[in-house]
Amino acid sequence: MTDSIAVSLTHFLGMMLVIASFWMLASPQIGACIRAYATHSFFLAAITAVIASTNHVEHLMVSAVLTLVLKTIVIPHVFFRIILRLGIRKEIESYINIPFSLLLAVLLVFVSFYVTREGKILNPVSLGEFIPLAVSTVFFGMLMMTTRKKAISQVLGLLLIENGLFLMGVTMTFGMPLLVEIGIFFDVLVAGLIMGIFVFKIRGAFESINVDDMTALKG
Amino acid sequence: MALLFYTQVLSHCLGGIASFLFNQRGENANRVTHGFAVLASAAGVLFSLSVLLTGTSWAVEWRGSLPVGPLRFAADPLSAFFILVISSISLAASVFAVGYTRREFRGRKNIALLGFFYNVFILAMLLVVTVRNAFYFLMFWELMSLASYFLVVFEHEKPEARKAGMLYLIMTHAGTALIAAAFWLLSMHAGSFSFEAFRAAAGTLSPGLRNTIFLAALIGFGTKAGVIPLHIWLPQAHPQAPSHISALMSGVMIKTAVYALLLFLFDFLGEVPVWWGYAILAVAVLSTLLGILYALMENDLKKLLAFSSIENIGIILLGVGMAAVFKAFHQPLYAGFSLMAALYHVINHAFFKGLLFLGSGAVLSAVHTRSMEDLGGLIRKMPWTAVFFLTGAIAISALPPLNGFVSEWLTFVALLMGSESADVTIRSFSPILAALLGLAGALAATCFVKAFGITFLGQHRSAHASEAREVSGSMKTGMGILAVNCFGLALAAPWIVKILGRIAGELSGADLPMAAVVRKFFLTSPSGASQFSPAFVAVILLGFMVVSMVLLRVLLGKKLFRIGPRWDCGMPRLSPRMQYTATGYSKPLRRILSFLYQPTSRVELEDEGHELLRTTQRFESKITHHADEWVYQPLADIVAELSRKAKQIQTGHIQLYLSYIFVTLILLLLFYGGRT
Amino acid sequence: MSAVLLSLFQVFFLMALAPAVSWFIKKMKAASQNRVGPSLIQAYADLWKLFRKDMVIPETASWIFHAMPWVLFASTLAAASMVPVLWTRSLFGFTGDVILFVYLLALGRFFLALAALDTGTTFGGMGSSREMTLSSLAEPALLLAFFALSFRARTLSLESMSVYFASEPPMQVLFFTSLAFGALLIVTITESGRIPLDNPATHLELTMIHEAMILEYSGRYLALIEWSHQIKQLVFLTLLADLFFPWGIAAAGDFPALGFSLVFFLAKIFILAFVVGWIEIHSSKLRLFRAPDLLAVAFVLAILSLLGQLIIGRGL
Repeated sequence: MTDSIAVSLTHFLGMMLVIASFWMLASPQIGACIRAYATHSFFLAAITAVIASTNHVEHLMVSAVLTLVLKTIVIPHVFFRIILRLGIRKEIESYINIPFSLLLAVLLVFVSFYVTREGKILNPVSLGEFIPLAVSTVFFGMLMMTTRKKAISQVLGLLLIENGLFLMGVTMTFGMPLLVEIGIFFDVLVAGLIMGIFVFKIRGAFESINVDDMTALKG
Repeated sequence: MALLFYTQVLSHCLGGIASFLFNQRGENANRVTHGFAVLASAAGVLFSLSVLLTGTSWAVEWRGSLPVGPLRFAADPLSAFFILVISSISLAASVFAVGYTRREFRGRKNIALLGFFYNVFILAMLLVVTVRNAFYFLMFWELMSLASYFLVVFEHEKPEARKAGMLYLIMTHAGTALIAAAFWLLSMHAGSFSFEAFRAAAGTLSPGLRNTIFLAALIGFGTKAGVIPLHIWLPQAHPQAPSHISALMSGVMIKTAVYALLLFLFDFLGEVPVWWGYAILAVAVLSTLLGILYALMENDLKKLLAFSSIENIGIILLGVGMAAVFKAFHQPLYAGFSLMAALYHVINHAFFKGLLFLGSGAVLSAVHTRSMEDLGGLIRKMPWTAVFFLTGAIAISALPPLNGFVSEWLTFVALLMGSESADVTIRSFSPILAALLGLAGALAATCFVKAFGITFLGQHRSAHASEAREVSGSMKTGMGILAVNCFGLALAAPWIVKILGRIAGELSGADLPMAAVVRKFFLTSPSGASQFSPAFVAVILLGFMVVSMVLLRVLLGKKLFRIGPRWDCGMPRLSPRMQYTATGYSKPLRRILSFLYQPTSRVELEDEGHELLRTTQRFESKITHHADEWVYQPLADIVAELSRKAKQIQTGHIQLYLSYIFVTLILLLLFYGGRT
Repeated sequence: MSAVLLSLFQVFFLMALAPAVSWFIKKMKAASQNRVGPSLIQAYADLWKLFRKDMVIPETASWIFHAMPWVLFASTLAAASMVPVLWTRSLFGFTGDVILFVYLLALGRFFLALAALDTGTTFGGMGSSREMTLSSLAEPALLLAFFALSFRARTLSLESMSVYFASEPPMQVLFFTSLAFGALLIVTITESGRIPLDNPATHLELTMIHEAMILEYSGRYLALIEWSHQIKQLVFLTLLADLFFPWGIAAAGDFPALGFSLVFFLAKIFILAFVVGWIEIHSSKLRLFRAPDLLAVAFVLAILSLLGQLIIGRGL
């Protein structure tokens, strides 16, 4: 693969990644949201793989494969099982409606582009154009965590943030040392599992996973 | 040239006064007052054209006894352009007014008084755009506001007219206060009230002062222009005035604010910081979108038009805002082009909005209701009015080949030139602003399909509508003048662009090279991105239409048809009440954009003991106007609260009031005495 | 002179091809439902039959009713004469740009919606209201997609945009053209009145939009309207082909290149028609109040296409 084509390919994949995060925000049902997350992670894995192969950074290839296996297959699978077990209603409940969150998301992309232009915040070594994309992914995750009512959407939001940070790491510094990365992957997996259990517990305690009910905890 | 100007001023004066000599409610007063107005406007058109075409400015000066400098009038191309706008609309409106006043007010109201305020109103607008002294400017500005106030409350027997008038009076004076402050600050700095002195002193303004003056001017003139959120008086006041006055208020008066804003931005204040451009663009986008969205939900024909004026002021300000941004970044070519787009929309909007208001006046005088729910089918009763209104509707929906599209195209191009800007913010936002303009255009088309379709098409929704008669010759002529010009302003676009380009070039400080914006029949974008020829498009559309008609006729013979009943789903008879209503027509958008409109509806049912014996059903649906709810209602509450507090010192005892005066006097004396 | 003739031929070619494209989608649909479907001749025979039939004009119709088919036809043809088809020039491309193109189509729609209100039936009002609602949301998406493309190409003229994207390596611009393509595809489906936004094959009052507006038309007028509709659909497909797959289009009007271009063009159009047909077969009609969501997607795609360029392209 020649370099220019590879760069174009990563650009394309990067935009698809943004689309996938929009899809996550726009999906009215929890299943679609999980599938969107899987897609998002798939594109992330693809970007990592392309960068790994063009820059000959072998350990990134491992990260790519791990991303593919863990985030596009295992974690979504776990989530689908949680939904099935809990019998959660499929509709996502949100404080703001979908068109409005899309509008906010567009604004957030603007903001992330605006604050990172001219390398004001970060000084990248390569592929600086991915920084706004990564920052906006983090923003989207935060938007999801702040506006959704169900605990499970908040876990998805957290995972989205993690994806954004991972993207930033990969595109800026070609990834962290392999050992650290593998550690992070296990963290994510474990976090996913723990939170899955957590969601069970919340439901056990409150008969719902609506985090609004946790306001009852304040004395 | 001077003669024409004096003729215009004198005719308006005569028109205002002479009609009092006749029976004040009679036909003669009507003819005299509007006759003089026609004469004056014709002189004004000639005067302004002679300035614009020859390119020579004209000025006159009187030394008054007031210590505010000489009273100076001048007609440079910019002023002449606005005189042209004022005079041509007032020409059509005055011709229209002869028939309209006769039909509406003869024998019922004091026509001489109407004519007096009408002439004073036009004269004041005229003087506002020609005067060159801040003090007199404010005087004429106030005269214009007061005259228009009296016109709004002309039908003062209606409570809603009085209410709208009061709101207008309050808002316009709040605005005038800020305008006065802006001028006062400028004159303190320049040491004189004359515009020339302002211009000369522009370079030495400190940034803080400059920003303050700009904000005061933007809010002050913004109130007059009716930008959102300062618009609340406009949709109340404009529809209450007699229709030919509404045409002038919506078509012309709000443009005087644009004129003044242009003077401040490009003449008095020197350097333009880029955030002024952003501020104007933000206001413009808000006005454009919300203006048309509120217009869409309106079922009162004249209110709908008034809201759409807010939208069009927004479109004009989009051009002005882009010009300010380009000026801030020293791109004079693009600044000039954007300004030209704004000026073009000023004159276009004056013509088609004038036309539409006159059209709504014709409908009003024939049917005596402004509610579209009671109209329908008027195209058969009033064919000419329908044709004129349709022309206006196509023009305002920015559809080719009429004039609205030309200036909208120019504004689009001006916005898209933002991608050539040196500023990263405007580079990223301008295509989106352009798309939002497109959204406003599409919504405007929907709005005017509703306005024309529900009013003129279909079947009569009430007995009034079925008894409508076509209006008189003078009213048709008034509308006709404007309708023809809607075509003219499109077809003559290259020549108009040349004239406006010169004005815009002068204002923005660098000549707009004609080769960059006009090539023979084509308007071109200075960045070379595109070109457009209104005349060609008209010819092509007409050509395709005629050729296809002729070809089909020749190939397949004359088309044969018979008249038959409509498809009625097997029902015995389709009644007019089965048609879509104005409310129903805009229902999908009301529902889709419910987060914005926050519609509330109420159904009232009354029955005689059983639900099957239902006697009445009433349905009410309302949308939320956020400016009212978020800004003005709290403001009104605060004022009311303060008044309640202030009431405590009001006891009703005359002695106490006298003692207030006494105490105040002593305090003042102590204050001054203590100082010296 | 030959250039003008060739450009004129392009318009006739679009007019002639339009019924065939509609037929192709119909045939696909039939095949998916295990039906045989009409033959190609039928598409043209239908038009021919309608053209020769007498008309029934509703008694409540005004002149708007008579004027509409001609205005619609003329404005559609004017728009059709602005797109390059076989070579990179078009008949009237020089008179305007994408903005004019969009507003010419809007002119036709304006009259269509008025004529629907003219007869004073419930169906007409319903179709008119729905059509204007959807198009007011589709039009800005369409414009923004064009603006996103012109942001890169630095031109608003359809001809030059097509030439520009033919010269650019497709891979390099894929990151934003793919998004603009998505936006324009959704708009194409809206504008040609297809599932999931409108159903061309129904006369059920709850679902129809376009058909409701033209319910009172018959004979020659109906033929004109139907034909305009088919031409509009083909024009949008041509636009997609011009802007996103401009390969193989002839740069000059010489004959081997044109023949080549013709083959390419037909292939592109029928593949795109296949995509539209495939979507029509595999989706169900959206509820009217869900349709804006889809158009919002188009708008977001168009915005992202623009933002993507700012982030990845010149903006940095």
